Amino acid sequence: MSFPVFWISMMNDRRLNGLTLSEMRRALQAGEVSSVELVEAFRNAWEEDSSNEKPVNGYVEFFADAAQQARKADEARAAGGHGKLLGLPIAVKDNIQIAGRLTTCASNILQGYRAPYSATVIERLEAAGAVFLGRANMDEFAMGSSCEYSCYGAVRNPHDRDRTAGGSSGGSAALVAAKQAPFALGSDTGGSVRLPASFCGVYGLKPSYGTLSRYGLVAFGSSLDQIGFLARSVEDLQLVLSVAAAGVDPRDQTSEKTGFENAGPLRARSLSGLTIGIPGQLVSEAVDPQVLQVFDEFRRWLESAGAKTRVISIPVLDACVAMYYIIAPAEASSNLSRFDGVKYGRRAAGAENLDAMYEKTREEGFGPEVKRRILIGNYVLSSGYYDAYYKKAQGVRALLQQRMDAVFEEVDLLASPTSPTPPFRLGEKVDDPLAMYLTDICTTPANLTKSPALSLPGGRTSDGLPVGVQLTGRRFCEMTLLETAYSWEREHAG
Amino acid sequence: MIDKQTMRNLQKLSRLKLEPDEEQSLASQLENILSYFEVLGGYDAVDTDLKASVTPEDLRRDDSAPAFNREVLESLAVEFQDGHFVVPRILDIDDE
Repeated sequence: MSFPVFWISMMNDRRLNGLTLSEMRRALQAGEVSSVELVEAFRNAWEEDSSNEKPVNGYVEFFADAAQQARKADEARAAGGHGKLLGLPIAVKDNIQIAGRLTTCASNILQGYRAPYSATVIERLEAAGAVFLGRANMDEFAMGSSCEYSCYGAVRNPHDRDRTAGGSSGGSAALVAAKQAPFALGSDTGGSVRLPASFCGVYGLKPSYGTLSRYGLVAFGSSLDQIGFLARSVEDLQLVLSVAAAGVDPRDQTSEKTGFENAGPLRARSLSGLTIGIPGQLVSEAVDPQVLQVFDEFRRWLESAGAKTRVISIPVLDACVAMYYIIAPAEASSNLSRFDGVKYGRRAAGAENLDAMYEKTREEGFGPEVKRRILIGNYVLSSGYYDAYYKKAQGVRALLQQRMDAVFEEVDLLASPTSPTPPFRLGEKVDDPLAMYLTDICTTPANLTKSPALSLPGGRTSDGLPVGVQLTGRRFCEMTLLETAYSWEREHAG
Repeated sequence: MIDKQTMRNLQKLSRLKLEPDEEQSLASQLENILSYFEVLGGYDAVDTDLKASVTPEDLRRDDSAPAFNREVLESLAVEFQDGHFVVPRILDIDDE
């Protein structure tokens, strides 16, 4: 692809920051920009924002050696290297391990912990030449919907600095929206990629459970966790997916062969022949009217593009938040038992014996939401409550799976808002955990059913706040989601 | 009902020791959240054998593979001595 001369001459920092990952790739290949210039542009944007009275606070660390990584990539390119992501800068959520670097999950209990190995996804991106910009802020241990539960302080929404960026991958989404990174890795256990994507006005993909290896992702809810992507274009989602999903990883027994690494370039597709279901439960009057308005416009576009849409009733969707907040804390209470101050992480001083050391370390090390979920998890797994809560939730999860399997016999995709509200104010829900949990009503079903789901920036409220629209499909139908979103992007982006 | 004894039991299971004001506010929040979970009562659960989700065939082969060396483990630990993690006393004197 060639670039007009005037365009190249205007390639200053700001212009570079606005490029998508795929545009950067083409500019690098054409020799019109270097990876070092790209990294410096993002470093400058981050430094400039850090001096703002209300900084985004998306990075918890901008890597001191980012420019050095970029220089190596430029040298590799000069020597004939052509990795798929060679020289492309990417931010990484602080719960995905990069060997030798700090990984803290935005928690005091992991202060000082340096990853002894890299996540499989990191290894694959690194092998393809990616440059890692820094660690992205998040809710502690990925537990939260607003990115306010971080030991590094809350992330601010770049579109309105008094509002939340969504969580838990709020740092990742805000960095992409604020043009401090072109692309970021996140993780999604109950909506943690899609909700911040919606709040920050960027694209967010949660692949199917099994598409990406979770080896090296700090475990939260093991039957739900999946690494996901935040981006400014659909093409970028597909580009990184084709690298990260390259085959089964024996170190994560849940990873599966998908073939996504062999997918060709994205093509805008006609939507004729597609039937898209709209779950009535997710477009009810409980949803903010301005969110519904944006969603209605999206629905009209789907129809104008040739798709058939119809409202369908899936009553069990009303139970997803309850199911999720039983199953995820149950799994978390087990996964987080490893943080005990013995083998790694922080240990509280002054404990008289081992039990006291465990209690003091965890009391000082964990924040309020993590403690809340560990307590809920242990409660629902306790003798006397197990059947009423955990077993019941798993039984209703199986019912949900049956219903969704039947729904996907009738429709190709589901469409809904990503969040029932636009981004809310900082502090608005932080002391009301149940209100915070209900933010996840539209996103938890895909995790519970292991489906892929994508949030696209559907529009804005009258105040200019971003509103996301979500597409969900049957397991491993990522390409249908991406092609549909790409068709929408070609008509609406810019 | 989250009474004081239940909160004490939960803290024991969770290896957490909450401050008194924290304990009170968490107990009230937990009650609220557990009440919300009652929505599940409106659905017929599918009978699920939770123990049958993993079979021996799902497990990876028992092959040897490289592991962390001692230096790596030592660098991560708070206290490490002669190849062992050092922890505070395990048994109380009174128990001995």
